[in-house]
Amino acid sequence: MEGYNVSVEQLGRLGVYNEQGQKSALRDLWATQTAVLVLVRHFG
Amino acid sequence: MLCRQQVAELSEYEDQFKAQQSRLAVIGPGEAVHLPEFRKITGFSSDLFADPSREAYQALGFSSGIGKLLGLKPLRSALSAIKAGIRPGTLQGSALQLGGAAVIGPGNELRFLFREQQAGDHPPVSALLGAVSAGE
Repeated sequence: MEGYNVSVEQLGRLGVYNEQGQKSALRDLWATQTAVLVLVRHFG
Repeated sequence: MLCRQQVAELSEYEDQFKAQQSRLAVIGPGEAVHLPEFRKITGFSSDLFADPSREAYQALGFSSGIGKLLGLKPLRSALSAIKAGIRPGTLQGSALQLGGAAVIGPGNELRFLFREQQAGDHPPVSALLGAVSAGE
């Protein structure tokens, strides 16, 4: 998608944590399927 | 409060995302220890992740700042949440961080990007589903 100045490759290298505290790379979410990421402001 | 409402509403559409073979994930800027309670409160059953350093927010260009939290729209959204029975909880994460949404893949293709302009400015679920179906 042009015009947003986002590097999906860079984003994919970043890690996030699941409920067990395990870290995984974001790219795993969209490697084989379409991923819909919703980033919320906070958990409150 | 607004985020609880947003994710609780999103949970009503989880089956539709699954039906389109997409993977729905909610990411928050707090610590992973808060994920189980957030799941319980919202009823969200898909992937939940924590990004305590907010690196993903920065990579997607999502804004942060006090000026983004003020205005009529955030106030209207808060009142709407209260009417819907959503009560505020203890804030976990960054109060100044704005969110958004991205639809990516398969592979490194960015299909859709939504950046909140102010608090309460949530991505339309119909737009997310549309971005998924456009890639089929």
